[in-house]
Amino acid sequence: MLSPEEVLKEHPFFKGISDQHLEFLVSVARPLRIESNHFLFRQGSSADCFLVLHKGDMAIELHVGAQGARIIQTVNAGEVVGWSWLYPPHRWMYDGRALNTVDCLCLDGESVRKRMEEDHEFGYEVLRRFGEVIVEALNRTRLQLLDVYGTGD
Amino acid sequence: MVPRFMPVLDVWDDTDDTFTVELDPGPAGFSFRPGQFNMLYVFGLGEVPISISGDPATSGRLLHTIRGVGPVTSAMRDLAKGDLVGVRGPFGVPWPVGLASSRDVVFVAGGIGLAPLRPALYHVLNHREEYERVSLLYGVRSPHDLLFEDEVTEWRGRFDMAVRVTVDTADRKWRGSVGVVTKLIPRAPFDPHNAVAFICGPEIMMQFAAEELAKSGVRAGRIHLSMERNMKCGIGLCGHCQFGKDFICKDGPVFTYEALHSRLDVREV
Ligand SMILES: Cc1cc2nc3c(=O)[nH]c(=O)nc-3n(C[C@H](O)[C@H](O)[C@H](O)COP(=O)(O)OP(=O)(O)OC[C@H]3O[C@@H](n4cnc5c(N)ncnc54)[C@H](O)[C@@H]3O)c2cc1C
Ligand code: FES
Repeated sequence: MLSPEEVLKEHPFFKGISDQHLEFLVSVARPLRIESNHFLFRQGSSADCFLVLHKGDMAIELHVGAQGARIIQTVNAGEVVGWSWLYPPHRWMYDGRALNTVDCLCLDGESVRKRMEEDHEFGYEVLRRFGEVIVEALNRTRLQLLDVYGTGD
Repeated sequence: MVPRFMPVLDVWDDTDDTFTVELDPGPAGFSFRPGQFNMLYVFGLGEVPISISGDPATSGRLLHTIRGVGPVTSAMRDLAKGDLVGVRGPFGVPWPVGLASSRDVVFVAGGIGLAPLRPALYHVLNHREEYERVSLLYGVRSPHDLLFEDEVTEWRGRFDMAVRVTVDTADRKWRGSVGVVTKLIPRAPFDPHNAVAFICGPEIMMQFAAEELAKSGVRAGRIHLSMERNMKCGIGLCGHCQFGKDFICKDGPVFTYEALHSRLDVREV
């Protein structure tokens, strides 16, 4: 199994990050393995970390009344999951379920936030990366909302 | 050009709103190239352009896969064995499958867009040794709307082809990917510098997919899209299908992204 340092060094999300910042991230990373169909987080629970996926796939789900759980997005190795840790009230908005065995790193949200306040350069590096992820997610959601495959009724 | 009247051999449902009409072209058969379309005439109702969705190597049966959206296309669902349909065609610029030989081929389909792509897929799979890696990236609204489901499953089982399917939303029974089709592009197995892409689907989806492919390094001249506009004559005479300087029926429907990209962003051309 890869060490947290190896995972973060290789992960596309942290491409180009300095050794010093990487060292800090390694110090707040906790490896996590979740078996298929188990939850990595639940809607409404405390979002105290974000996840760096390096193996496996997961489903982001939302409970829609009588329809039950709807998968709104799947996330794969090479991506990060979660930005609820960044802003209050630090609660997960969705359920995160493993679709197969998922290996990821859980990076402690409070420690990362504290470091971002103390070291604005580090803060910028983290926010810039999350900004890109959020913009991409927004663009994809807009496309999904358009229901482009519908008949236009 | 006068239509040839062909009897219906069969009509079957592919999904809730999409069906395939099989026509008998007679002993002479019907030759076409992948990506070409026919003008189909339904008695008393009118004529619409529909892409040919069958195997170009099988000229004895002519397939069109249709989504019922208005009077003519909806009436086609009610066609029965023996009914006659007027056929003019084949028309239009085909998918340049020859240009793709010795290269990786990436098919990107959205919704019913898999139907106009299917003849090109058949061609590539029938001549598999002429191509490098082949992938099909297919996006639909929900698992319920998957077109040619059995065939997609069969292709998925092949060792010489990568098939990735994504849906806009699903319940927990779905084990595949959820999200827009463009998200499949960065993970698809192709060398952008030696790849040719064929995209067919709603215009906005084709635009995003072409942008993503171009971003990954595929040359705009090797990204091909199939465009749709209302048509009347189908042969470049009436101007109904004009798209900027081109007529979709005669200069298309298949164009390169290089030729189109400045026009795709414009509201009305
Ligand atoms: C080259 C070409 C290939 C095509 N291939 C296929 C095919 O393989 N299968 C298929 O089902 N359809 C295909 N179409 C689209 C098909 O021609 C139209 O859906 C059809 O003309 C609609 O006719 P109608 O009388 O049933 O409905 P209309 O009354 O003409 O239209 C009903 C509704 O559908 C919308 N509509 C009409 N034409 C289109 C279009 N081209 N794209 C999206 N929405 C449209 C209209 O705006 C209206 O809201 C193709 C079109 C072109 C130009
Ligand atoms: S349909 Fe008449 S010019 Fe294209």
